[in-house]
Amino acid sequence: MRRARTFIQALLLASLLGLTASIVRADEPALLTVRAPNKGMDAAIHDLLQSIGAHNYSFVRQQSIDNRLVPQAWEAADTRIVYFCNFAQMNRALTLDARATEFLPCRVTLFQTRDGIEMVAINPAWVSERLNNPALHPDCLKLKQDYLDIMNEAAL
Amino acid sequence: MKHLAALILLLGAVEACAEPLTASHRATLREALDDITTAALNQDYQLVKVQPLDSALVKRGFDDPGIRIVFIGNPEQMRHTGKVDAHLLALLPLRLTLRHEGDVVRVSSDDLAPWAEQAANAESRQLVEAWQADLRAILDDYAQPRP
Repeated sequence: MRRARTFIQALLLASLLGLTASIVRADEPALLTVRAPNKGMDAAIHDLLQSIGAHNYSFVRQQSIDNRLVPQAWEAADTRIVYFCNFAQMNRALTLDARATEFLPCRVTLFQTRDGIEMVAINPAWVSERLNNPALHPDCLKLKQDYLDIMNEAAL
Repeated sequence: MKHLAALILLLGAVEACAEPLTASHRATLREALDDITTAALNQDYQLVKVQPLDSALVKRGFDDPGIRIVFIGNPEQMRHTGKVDAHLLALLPLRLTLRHEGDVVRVSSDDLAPWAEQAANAESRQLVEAWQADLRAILDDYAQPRP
């Protein structure tokens, strides 16, 4: 009887800790967003590629959002995607957790607004909190900061 | 006390459900790519790009993770999303991960349930839920054994 009670108490404590972690983790936004006012799409892409290289990432490719879904002449000019990667970082993240593919390779989506260009990326730290792998989280926090540095520099 | 315990365990269980959708069957990677492409087409999605993370890493001297990423989408989905909530374009094209495990290829999708939960409005939420349902249907189709 006493063992059963101890077991239930331990279970409750573990659940409470889990709930507390859920409450704490609500701080990370799902998306990282940076505005580049008064910039056109070509200039924003150019600056983003420069910034990616300057932060030790390799450019992988850029494409319109509907690339290969419509004939090339009809592709949307107002929304583009840029993929990039740091392969050593990717290797480390995949070794820690194969689910890291939820945020790898890195992807920034750029879309035209009335005022300029908006850059959006999925926040790897937000994803990592849900994956609940403490070993992966520090890498995701660094990647989040890299995203912000890259996008903020491109927005200047 | 009993009610509190039940509530806590229930909440814990709900959280534990937040997992990516997965499906697997016996196939080579090549066959799995064909199968997932067909399954996507059956739901009006086209293959946009295969990202061979495995060969990209091996080429640079790292171990082979046995992973490829497949991006799928449809043009109407892109147009509609741009009108409803442009920020959700960051999730498109949708991503599927293929992982080679012995003679089985496991396919998993990003976990979209949390995106639906924190959607900006009801229309955005419905949109993400529709993607989640499409991914579920694609993976259910993929889960069928090869003839």
